[in-house]
Amino acid sequence: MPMEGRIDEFSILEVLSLIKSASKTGKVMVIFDEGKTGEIYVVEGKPVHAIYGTTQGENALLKMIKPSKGKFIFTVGAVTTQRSIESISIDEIAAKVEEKQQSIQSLQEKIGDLDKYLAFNKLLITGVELDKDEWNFLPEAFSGKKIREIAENYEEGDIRAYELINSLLEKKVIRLSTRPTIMSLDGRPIGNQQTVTSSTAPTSLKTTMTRMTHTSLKNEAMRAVVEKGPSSTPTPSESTGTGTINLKVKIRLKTYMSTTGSEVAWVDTSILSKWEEELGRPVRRVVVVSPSGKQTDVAIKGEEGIGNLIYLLPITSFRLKLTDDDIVEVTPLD
Amino acid sequence: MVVLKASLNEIPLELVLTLPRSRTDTFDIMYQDENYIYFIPVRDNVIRFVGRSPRLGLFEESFFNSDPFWTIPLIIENHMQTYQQIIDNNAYYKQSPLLKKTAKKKFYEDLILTFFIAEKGEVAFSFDIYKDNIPSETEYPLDTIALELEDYKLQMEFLREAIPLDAVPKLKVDDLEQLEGHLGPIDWLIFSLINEQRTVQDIALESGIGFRETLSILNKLNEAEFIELAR
Repeated sequence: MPMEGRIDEFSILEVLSLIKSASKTGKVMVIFDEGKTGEIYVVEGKPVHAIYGTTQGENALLKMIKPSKGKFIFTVGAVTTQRSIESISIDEIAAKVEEKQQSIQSLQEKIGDLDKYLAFNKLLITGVELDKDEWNFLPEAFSGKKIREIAENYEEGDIRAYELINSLLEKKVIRLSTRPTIMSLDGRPIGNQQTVTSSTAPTSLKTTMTRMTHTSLKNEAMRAVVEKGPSSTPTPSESTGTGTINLKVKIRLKTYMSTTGSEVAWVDTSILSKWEEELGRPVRRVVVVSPSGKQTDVAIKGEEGIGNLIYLLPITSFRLKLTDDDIVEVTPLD
Repeated sequence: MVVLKASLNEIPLELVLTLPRSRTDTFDIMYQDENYIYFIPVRDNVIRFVGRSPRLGLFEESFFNSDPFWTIPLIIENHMQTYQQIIDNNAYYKQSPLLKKTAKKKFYEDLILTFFIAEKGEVAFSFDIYKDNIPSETEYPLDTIALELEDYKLQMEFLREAIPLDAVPKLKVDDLEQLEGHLGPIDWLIFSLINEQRTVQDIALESGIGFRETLSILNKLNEAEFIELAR
């Protein structure tokens, strides 16, 4: 028969401490009410292996030792050949948990309201340097989850998530928002067009690059952009002339027409602002040129946070024979 | 709601108890061994009642299959009725209220200590305590139990070996005069239950003073050669 109990009443640390006192070998299964599960294997009272989601080892163990609702089941005698935890005593775990709690608390205080969302900081204009981890974290930041949820679900642990959020906030790449970041039609997170550099790129390639944060950095192609710089990959939003920019097509699957009855497209509000600054007047219509040379003019509207995308209505994309991710030239009309 | 369940075959009770005691000094315990189910309410770290009822008909399954705390009123009722019957069926108790009081003290002491030395069975804890009337029959602070436990355990080990539960005590004296001056009131009570048919266990269950006291008296009678044990 196992031992089982509520983790809202007894922490996993206390349970491990009890198992240590009894010098038992077995498996502690942790079942959180939210649906996640984890396992901790102990040999003669010492934790030797832990797995929680995709995380293993000490990180997994520390993730499970958190105030939460759920239950644990300790099955005496269950063993595994896996070893992901170096020899560590319960006291050391307790010390680490304490240390972690203090670090988290300090980071949380710096970050502020954890029930808010993260959004791209539109005020960011000049170049900033992001390291690889920060780049890789951006899709998490714009996953539409609250800060607390992002941290709880981050593979490398909540403390690392808070560190990265804090760092990105300090660099003013992101800001707190009361609303989730807009999601693209295919569900990928998107953000504003910004000028940032990758500090992981070789110096020769470490040029300022105009990049879009919507890119899934888990995608190998986009990793290449981060690591090798923009010259090795298409540059979707490089400027090709005064006022003309290249944007990536995203077909907007909703029957929206402008109030004038003409076809309408959407670009990032920052692009509209930039055009207005360059041309000295607001831009209301643009010409869209497809890769095959077909073109049409449409009314243009601004939409926050869509970066290098241009949202086109299905009718426009059909006429120009465009599909998602095609690159089009967009030029403001006089 | 059950907050903790454990099998005492695998984790000693003294260790299991550290978890609920680290949280609160008021909680309910249910314990199930081969034959009985127990209800042990702890209020402000003091035990004032233990209810014991045969498992049969009350709770046949393992504690791990469901929440056992619903049986509390049934256990209390069964326990009180059973103990009352013991008292009612024994003339000694009718004659002496003081004897009844002493017996009750020893009975509950034995019941509590029996639970705390348990090495088998299943135990469950709830912080959502039973709030209806619970009889107040004794007063045993949890902290004092640990002090007595080791002695109790050693004594019970010795007594169970010396006085096997399945043995049938038989009288070795022909004349009551031989016993005069040797037996106290509780000894007489036990002596009165020896009918050459009851086993040691039967006598312990019917004495109303618990196993330790019953076995101690039977051991004394045996050593004095007033009785002999047949198996």
